Amino acid sequence: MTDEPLDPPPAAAPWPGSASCGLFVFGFVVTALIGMGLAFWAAVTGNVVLVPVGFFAPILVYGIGSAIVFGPRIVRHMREASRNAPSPESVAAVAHGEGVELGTKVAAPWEDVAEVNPTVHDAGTTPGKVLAYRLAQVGMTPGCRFGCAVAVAIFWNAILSSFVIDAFNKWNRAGQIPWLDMLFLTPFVLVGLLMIGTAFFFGVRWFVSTLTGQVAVEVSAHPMLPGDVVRIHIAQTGTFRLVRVAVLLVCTEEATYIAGTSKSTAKKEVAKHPLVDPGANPDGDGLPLTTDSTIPTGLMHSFDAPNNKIKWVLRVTARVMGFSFSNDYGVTVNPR
Amino acid sequence: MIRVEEPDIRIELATEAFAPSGELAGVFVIAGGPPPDARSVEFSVMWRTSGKGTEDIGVAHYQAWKPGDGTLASMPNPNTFTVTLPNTPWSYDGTLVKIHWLARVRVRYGPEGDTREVVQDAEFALTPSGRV
Repeated sequence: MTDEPLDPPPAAAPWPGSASCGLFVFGFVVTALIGMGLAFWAAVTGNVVLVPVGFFAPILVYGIGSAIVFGPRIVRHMREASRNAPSPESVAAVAHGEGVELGTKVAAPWEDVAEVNPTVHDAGTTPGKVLAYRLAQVGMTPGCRFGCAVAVAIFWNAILSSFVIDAFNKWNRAGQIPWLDMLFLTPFVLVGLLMIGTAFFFGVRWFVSTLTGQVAVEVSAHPMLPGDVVRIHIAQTGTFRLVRVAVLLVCTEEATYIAGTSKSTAKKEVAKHPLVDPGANPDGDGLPLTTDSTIPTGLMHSFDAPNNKIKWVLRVTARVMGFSFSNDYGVTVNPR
Repeated sequence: MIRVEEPDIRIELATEAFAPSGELAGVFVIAGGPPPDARSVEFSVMWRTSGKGTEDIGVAHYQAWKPGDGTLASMPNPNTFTVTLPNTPWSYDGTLVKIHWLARVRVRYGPEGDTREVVQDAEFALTPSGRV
């Protein structure tokens, strides 16, 4: 294997040329001037109907003519450019930083032991107090969720209220119900009420989280390996004790895609494996809780690519004063 | 303009499923050899995602032959290959995310200004059990 650098990407097909572009722009300007002249002539001679026709017709004819003349050349150029561009595989191979050599084999990236599983998502942990690893909570905190929900509900309902007040004023003035306005506003009012309900729900979750305090989850081994027995320790700082504590190992797929001009991420929970069952715990179902759990075999490992991810979390669910409690803690599942 | 027939590429793999860190063995052949006006022949072993998200790819092995550096003339045809596979990512068939492994041969040919391209894939599974 040699250390020769990768050949530079081949040049794209020659562009139709700056002269052609200049000609096109010159033609457009001349056509626009002709259009303006025709429109002016139509206006002066009193043919007002012909003004827009005179203005737009030359540009339209010029556009169609240009598309016929230049269109195939531009399409051919684009196609040629895409075919002369480096292939996605060669770009990805180079991006690996291993160097790609022509006609010879490339060193496998995983031969560098530093990155044995480069696509396995690393959830990240901190040293624990009872067990070796403390897991980080993932997702928005209950306070943030509540704050966001309140802000959105206020924004929506503040705008909506002006329309609703206007409708009621009409009602008072006319003495009869403005049915059309009411019919139009009803779905928006329902959405506003839903937002208030959501804010209330998140408010309750936030209230519950303040009662329970910080809930810390520590594990004896991380990343987790399917089939291994892992000790899990859960403790809380708040005064109101969590009961009926259950732990689930939850897998979520995340796919990021471009929708229009913005990026969106779709998430879907695809697997849930119970690790701690409150009914089966002989030491009770409250906190602090220390238990050994077996990570199920046959799990897909964590996966992290720019647009596609497979993430695992430990989900702790419980009850406190009749309210439900749920927190997610990121974990890495390694391939076995 | 003389129309060159599209190259007929065939890829055969030893089996449909390979274990992580195992050896992928197979052969690819360009029937009748690369076209006389071939620009490049590229062989890669790679994974790619499909599903709802934008496609991600990762290349485990990449090899290219080009006429400019004389490597294309010495390219064996049929070309037998063995590639050490990585440990991950495993093949996966999820709801939003799917991960496919494949061996790919890409041939670019044709005169300047009329570049053509043929891509042939052979899918296989990278699974711990070694089964599809």
